[in-house]
Amino acid sequence: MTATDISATPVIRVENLSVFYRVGDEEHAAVTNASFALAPGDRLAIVGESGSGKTTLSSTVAGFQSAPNARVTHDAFEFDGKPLDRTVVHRLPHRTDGLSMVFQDAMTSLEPVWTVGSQLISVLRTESKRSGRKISRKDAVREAHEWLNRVGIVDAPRVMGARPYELSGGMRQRVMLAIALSGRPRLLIADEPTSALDASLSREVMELMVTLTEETGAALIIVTHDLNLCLEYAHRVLVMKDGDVVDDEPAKTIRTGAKDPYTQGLLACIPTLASVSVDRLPTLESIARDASLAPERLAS
Amino acid sequence: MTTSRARVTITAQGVQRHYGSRAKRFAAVDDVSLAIDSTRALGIVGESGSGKSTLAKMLVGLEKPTAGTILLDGQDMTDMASRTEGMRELRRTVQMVAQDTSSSFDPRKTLREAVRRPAQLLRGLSQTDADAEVDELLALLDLDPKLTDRKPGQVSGGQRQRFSLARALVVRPRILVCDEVVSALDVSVQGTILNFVKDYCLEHDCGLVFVSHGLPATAFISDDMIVMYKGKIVENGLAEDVVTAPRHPYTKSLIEAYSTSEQSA
Repeated sequence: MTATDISATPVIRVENLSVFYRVGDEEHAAVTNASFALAPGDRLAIVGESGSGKTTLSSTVAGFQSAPNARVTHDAFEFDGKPLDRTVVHRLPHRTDGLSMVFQDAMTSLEPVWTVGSQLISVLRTESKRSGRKISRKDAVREAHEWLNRVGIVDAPRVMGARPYELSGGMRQRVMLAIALSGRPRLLIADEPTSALDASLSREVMELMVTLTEETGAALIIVTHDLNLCLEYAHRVLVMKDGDVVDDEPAKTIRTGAKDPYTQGLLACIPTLASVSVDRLPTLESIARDASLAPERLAS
Repeated sequence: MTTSRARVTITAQGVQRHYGSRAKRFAAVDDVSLAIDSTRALGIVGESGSGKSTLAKMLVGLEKPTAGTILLDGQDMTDMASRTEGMRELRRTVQMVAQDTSSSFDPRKTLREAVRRPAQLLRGLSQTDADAEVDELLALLDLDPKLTDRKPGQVSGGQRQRFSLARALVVRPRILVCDEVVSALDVSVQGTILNFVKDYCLEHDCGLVFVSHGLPATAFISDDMIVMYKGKIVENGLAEDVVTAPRHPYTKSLIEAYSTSEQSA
């Protein structure tokens, strides 16, 4: 297969995916008719408030939807050119070859009793077996060190021997990223990958994810509440509200071209350094109120 | 409601916290001294691993300092925490909202049970009175009372974070310690919660310790600000001064990182 063939097939194509949760006798729609397609190297950001369904959408796409009260429907779901059926909800998260995920909560997604090193090495060896590239244990250790260094962990030997609870929240998140990327995925789904990291480091981690996905031609889905980051690093932004996709815009133009008032409000909510001298931060409600009072907005 | 209550102070003197064995000793918090007051809001910023969460845990008595003392109104906190009555006193005065709400709630109890329990235990309220206070707080926090019948795992992270805040405030603490309360939340919810916490602390005469890596949010909510780096305090001053005229190179680089991301976005 030539390179053009690869770029012609999207890494992932999702059409009208919906997820419902049953609570008591009622069924709530957590995601309604979400559709997107990503070519290799594409970066998509999914943004929305908590409860908007962005995590449900990303974990269902990943095949990690295992809630017993969930029901999934979709018109089409293709990954790497092959159709997959995500309407079957497995009792345990279902791993898909070539798809990695970084979770919001690194504490519960890492194996608590294995050391970081053994978790990372097991992924490296599984991956090397899959790709037919034989590596010795010694090489695996060396590669594990390299991966930890690449995600900004300097004292790799200490971290390799540590268990997840011995690390700080930010360190755990970086370890998660190293584990996810070392599997050389075709698609990486990152759910709030940087929300536990400080500003300078979250930029480093985003840049690292971008560089590595560009290198390997993998597509990237970033689920985040940090609009600044996704405007900077994503190609396209899906804005979700109450399970609906309310805006689907290229990241370059969303600041000026956001059609939905909700998206415009979200953009105005981002706290800045100038917030040090204000009494109250803008919220969606206050923005909506101010907008309805502003005469020029009323006129338009 | 404005209640003028006696001032409460927490004083930390030369506090250290070490982890690891003697051979591989690692100081998470290294010789930190600070004073917290129920009339001020103190922001603590620093990158991950800088020791800010460990410091927060020590300030509420959840971790013992390896060296140094932490005094709550002149009483040693380690000593207080070792006695049942002292522990209650400590809990009544200082409350914490933890970073990770998915592990700080009992997964088998409903949210209502979780939130009203501290009011019953620490303030001696009857179940009816406690429920009434819980409902009041939930209204302030814009939470649907119907959600209280759910278990912690059945609500979203943002909702759970607000329940966690309600659980701390139902005690009517004099000092509230917030460890990364908004970092995992969406911007719109962040604003609502930060505004709420700021107003609540002013109205209820409650001191605030706000631990976060998010510089803009911390600057907004704090009167004073501390910047931590590798377990030490590297910058200390009024929040406005720290943001506008940082002295330490680390603070400067942090502020620069924010300025560039704001400009490029």
